[in-house]
Amino acid sequence: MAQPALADVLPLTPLQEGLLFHALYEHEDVYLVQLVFELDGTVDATRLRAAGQALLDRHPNLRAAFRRRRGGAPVQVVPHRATLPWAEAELTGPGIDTEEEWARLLDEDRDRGFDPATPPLIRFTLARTGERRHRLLVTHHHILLDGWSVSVLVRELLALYATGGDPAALPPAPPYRAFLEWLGRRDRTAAEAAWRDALDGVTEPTRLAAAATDDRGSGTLAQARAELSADTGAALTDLARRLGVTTNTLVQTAWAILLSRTTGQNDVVFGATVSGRPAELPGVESMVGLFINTVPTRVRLRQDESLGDLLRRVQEGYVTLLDHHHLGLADIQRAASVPELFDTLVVFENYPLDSADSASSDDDGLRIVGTSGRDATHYPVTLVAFPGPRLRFRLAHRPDLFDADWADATLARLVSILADIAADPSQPLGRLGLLASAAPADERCPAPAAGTLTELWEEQVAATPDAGAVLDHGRVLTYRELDGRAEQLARRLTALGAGPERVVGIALPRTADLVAAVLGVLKSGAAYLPLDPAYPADRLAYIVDDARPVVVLATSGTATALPAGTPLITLDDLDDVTASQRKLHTADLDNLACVTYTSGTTGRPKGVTATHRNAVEFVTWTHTALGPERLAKVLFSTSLNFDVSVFEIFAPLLCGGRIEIVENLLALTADGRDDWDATLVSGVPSVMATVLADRVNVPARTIALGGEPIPEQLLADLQAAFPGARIVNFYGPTETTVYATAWQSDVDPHPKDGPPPLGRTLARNRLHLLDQALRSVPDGVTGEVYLAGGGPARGYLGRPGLTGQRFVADPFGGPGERMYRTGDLAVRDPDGQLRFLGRVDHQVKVRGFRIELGEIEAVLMEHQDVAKAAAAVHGEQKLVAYAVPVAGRTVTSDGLRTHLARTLPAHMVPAAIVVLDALPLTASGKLDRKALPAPGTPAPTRSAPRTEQEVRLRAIVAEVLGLAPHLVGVHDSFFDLGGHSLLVPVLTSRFRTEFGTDMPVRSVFAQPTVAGLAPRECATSDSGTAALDPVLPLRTRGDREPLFCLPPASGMAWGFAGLTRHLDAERPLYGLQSRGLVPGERLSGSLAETVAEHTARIREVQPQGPYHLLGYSMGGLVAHGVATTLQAAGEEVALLAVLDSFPGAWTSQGPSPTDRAAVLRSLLAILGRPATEGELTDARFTELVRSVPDLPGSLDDAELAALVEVTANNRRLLTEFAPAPYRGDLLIFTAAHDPDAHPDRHGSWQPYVTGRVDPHDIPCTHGEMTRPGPLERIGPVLDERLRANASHRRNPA
Amino acid sequence: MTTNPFDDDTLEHYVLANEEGQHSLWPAFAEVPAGWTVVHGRASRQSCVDYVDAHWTDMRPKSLIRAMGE
Repeated sequence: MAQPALADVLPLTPLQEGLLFHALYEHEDVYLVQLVFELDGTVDATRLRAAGQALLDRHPNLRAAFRRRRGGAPVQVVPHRATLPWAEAELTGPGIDTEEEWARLLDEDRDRGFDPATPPLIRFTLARTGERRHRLLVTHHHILLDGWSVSVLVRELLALYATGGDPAALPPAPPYRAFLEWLGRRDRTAAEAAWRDALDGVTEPTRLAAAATDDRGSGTLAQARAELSADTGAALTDLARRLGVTTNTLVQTAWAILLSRTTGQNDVVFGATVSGRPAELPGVESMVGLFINTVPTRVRLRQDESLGDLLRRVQEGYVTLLDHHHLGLADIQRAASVPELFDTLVVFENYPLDSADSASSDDDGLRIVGTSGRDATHYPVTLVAFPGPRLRFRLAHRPDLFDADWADATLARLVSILADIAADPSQPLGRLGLLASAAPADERCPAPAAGTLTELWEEQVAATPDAGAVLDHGRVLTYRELDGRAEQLARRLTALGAGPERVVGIALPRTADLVAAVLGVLKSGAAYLPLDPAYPADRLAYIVDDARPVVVLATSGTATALPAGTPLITLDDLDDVTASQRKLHTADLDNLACVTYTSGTTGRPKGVTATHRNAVEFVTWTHTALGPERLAKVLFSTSLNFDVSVFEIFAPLLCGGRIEIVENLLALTADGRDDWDATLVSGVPSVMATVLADRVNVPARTIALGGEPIPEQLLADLQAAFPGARIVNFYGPTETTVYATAWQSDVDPHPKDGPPPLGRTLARNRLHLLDQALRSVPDGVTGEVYLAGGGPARGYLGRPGLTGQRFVADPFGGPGERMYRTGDLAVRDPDGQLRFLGRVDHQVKVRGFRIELGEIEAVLMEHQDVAKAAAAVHGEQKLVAYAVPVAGRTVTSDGLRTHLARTLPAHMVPAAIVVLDALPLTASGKLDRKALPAPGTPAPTRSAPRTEQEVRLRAIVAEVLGLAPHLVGVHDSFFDLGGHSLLVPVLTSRFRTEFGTDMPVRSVFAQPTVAGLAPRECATSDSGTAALDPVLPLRTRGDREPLFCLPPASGMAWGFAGLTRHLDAERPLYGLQSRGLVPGERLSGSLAETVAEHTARIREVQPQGPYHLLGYSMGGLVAHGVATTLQAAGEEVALLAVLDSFPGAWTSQGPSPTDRAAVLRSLLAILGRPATEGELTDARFTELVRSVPDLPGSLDDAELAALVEVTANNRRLLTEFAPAPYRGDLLIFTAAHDPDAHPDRHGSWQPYVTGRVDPHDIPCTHGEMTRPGPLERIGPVLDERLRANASHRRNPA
Repeated sequence: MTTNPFDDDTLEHYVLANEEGQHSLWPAFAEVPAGWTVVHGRASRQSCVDYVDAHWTDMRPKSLIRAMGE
């Protein structure tokens, strides 16, 4: 095809580069813009068409095509002339529904899309919609034009229409090229420095969407609209004038406040679209082109700053960066070392679109009476502000992420924030609240505590003296007997000084005496202090020293765990306790009942002091809500160290029930006993899950769980194991005494999927969800949980400062009341239910145990050889600690574990301790917890860069992968570190910017390490054929047997590169490639030859089995062939896995090897190129392959021709498949979205496999199987299978 | 990560006390709740924590102290 003569070749602006990337990679190009103009009056189509053509003639850049040079650099190529694509449609007439037809026209027009390489990327459609009524549809790609330019074009169009398209009607257009040249003269270094400075300390993105989105527009965005009241509008205009700030600043500030309160962050970033038109450029206001840019706006908020000062600060920040608005977002993100900064965009429409609305060409009666268009954005949320006397807003949002109610509520909050600003700009930000719906009315339970625990106990003894109170391994104590022992002990304790506000320690084994001891301490008026004899001596010593008990009750066995000098009563048998006739003190409701120590951030546990009133209010609630029947027989399974024991002991004993002592919940299945008689079982969900895994036979009517969220599956399992039982989900920290809220399965059914909610507050407790200004958050917004009412304890024993920080004044309660801030995050769903979301700090729960990571870190730091320490939870509740030794010293995991176990209880000693050279740090120098390596994964010994070039390249690789640079060793493979083939073009493009020379895509596949890729003094271009060699080493490191990957018909194995990061780091990965990819090589003559050749290559790498094979499409058949060949040779094949590959009819379904167009089409699909309409010539094929800068896109003409030959040849070989049976199982992944997919396709393998065919449906098409998304699903299954194989062989049980 | 005002060292605070003699830190930007009086500040957060440690020496509520006859 003859190319039209070129007028110009222009570079791209940064935003154009970004839009081009989206146009090439996304299934649906969201940057296609449809503008609709309603035309009133007679329309002369010929004149309008001429006027449109004249626009194309006078603005060369409207004719641009977007292509890539062979090295990958994009350019806009401007032909001398382009004809305006013009269409006319008649949408009126008998039986025609005009609006329906119009909608169809719009859809068809959108579906047609644009090919960036085929100019012009603009077209006009004129539709007649009625008598003297037309609609003009101007469709263009956003890469050509911004909104401002549209208003220029409309003005010009009308002028040209008036003169019949005479170009002389208008002055010459100032050229867009002038802007591009201006852009080329900018000081990039200064701009990068300015942005780095502006974003200093930003380490994570500000997101409204729950998680990182797929960066893919989901087509049509949903819209919500709002408008300020006239009063607010006027007040804001006045305020802006007084403060000297722009309306844009008002909008940005309000959005920043909204983001801050919604995300809980005081440092937020959002995108802002800037006009990008430099004032210094002559005629810039009437230029046409894409000038706009998206830049981050970062706002740090202080709750004590006045709103007026905040506005001024936001404006100053904007002005400071004005000169640097030209830098592309990708470059800004790189400068700031943050791969993603925001997911919301604020657009301030500061160009006069209104003039276009009413524009007219009066003489001829052509009037534009309205415009409309769809948004072009890929951000999940875009706020568009339209200035005017009354500011208007449109909120475009992805309907798959946010619903209409959310959008309306968000706009209402924004408007309310602006109204608050207008009302009083001098008030501090912290006085401003998000428009929160009224909190649900508290269900107040007015019943105050009727007596102390002791009094209620004594009443119960009087009521049921002969009932069984405690069952201890078959031995029953009645209420009277238990009370007698307690009384005896109380008198003895009193003689030793016990009494109200005194503390008595209990370090006893779990027998009936433990219960008697608890009651005895309380009867003496004192508070009991649990001292678990299983705790390390150091910890017990600390607690004893901190709580200073008058005396500790122990046995001769447990006494040894206590520090020397502790005042003791050893009661190996309570009967031995000498009676005393001393009168007992009585405690008041507000006296302490117990002191419970919990993990503390500073490395030392802290004692929570609960009063009788706290405990009795909770127990009384259990009597009302659960009732004596459910509490008749309760298992006492929880250690006295945890406040849940208060529930298990006192709830039944204060209403006539009986408790049975067991060592712990696991006892239920441990000793094969199946005559359990319990009405209520209480515990921690993860432990309960373990119990359920065995057959458990308990006639429980109530299962009470707390301490951690109940997984949905466990809830279902519980309902199956205990039919008809009530499941209770309790929530509440120790500081609020046992539990503060409860969800009960039968009282409060939970119709939705997912874990059960937190339920309602119990007893007199109240719950507030607050933001960082201590204002209630609206429904749907995450807040921190504060608990007030009867639950909050007195405080922390002997720690007034800490108490004053956590038990704080309650602005929502009665005068002088306090609330406890839990540090837990929760959200109230639209249905009013509360959902637990996690922690604000580093407190974690492992198997229900509350652990402050800071405590573990502090104890590690006490080790003399440890310089730095960190702790984290990985995967399924695995506690891991990290230590960096003092320079010149060495530490071992075992040594550190011994050190930790001396001080920490068993549940706080990490499962793994990793010794590191350095802790990963964020850009701002803080510990980067997310970058702490999971134990057992990549060796932490990272080779450091040796040259300046390697330092720079490592920084690029780290950036592209979103890792801290020190985590990238110069010999680590890009793919091992998380790279996949779609990231390769990003890497090469960054390389070009940084080093000014091209890094061929293929060299990344050939040598995917920093050391291999760093540019050298000599030639940088690796035009070798390593990437096309028959063996493609994707990962050579590791001591396990490799996984060999056999290619699809294209013969290329590079697509498997994305698999590396999903597999065990110790497992090497090799791709096999078809012979013939290197031009001039002989093609394989038969399928048998292919199989033999691949088998030989595999055996060169790995001489002996067991072998692991994976094949994609045709490669699946070859893999089967290789497997049976290896088995015939007496070798073991441990894994045979195939990706969407089937024997039988499937092999002949593909294109005929002689139908070249069909072969090209199938090759395009497997290379991940978009489907194309129309005739597929070799030239068109080449163009489409090269449109994406990946490995195939970098092939030269001869190599591409060879690729086509290999593919056609492979298609031919495919039909030769005549398999021998494979001895073993087959793992198969099928493309569920493929047009010819049907559920039983995998069955066609069964005749050729002696074992099981194990199918896994992957939601993708055939050509997409090695894309990152599908590999996310395939990789873990493969990895698990490979690991299972490995362990199975080690333990041939 | 959420920043709780009670943990924010960059904010000035008050120390409040109620009739029971219980003490609470309180960020100075927020309105003082009913039933509480400022006994220290505005001052740095640390100064407020130190004040509480120094002055709230008997953590029993005043009504309890009275009831216990002291």
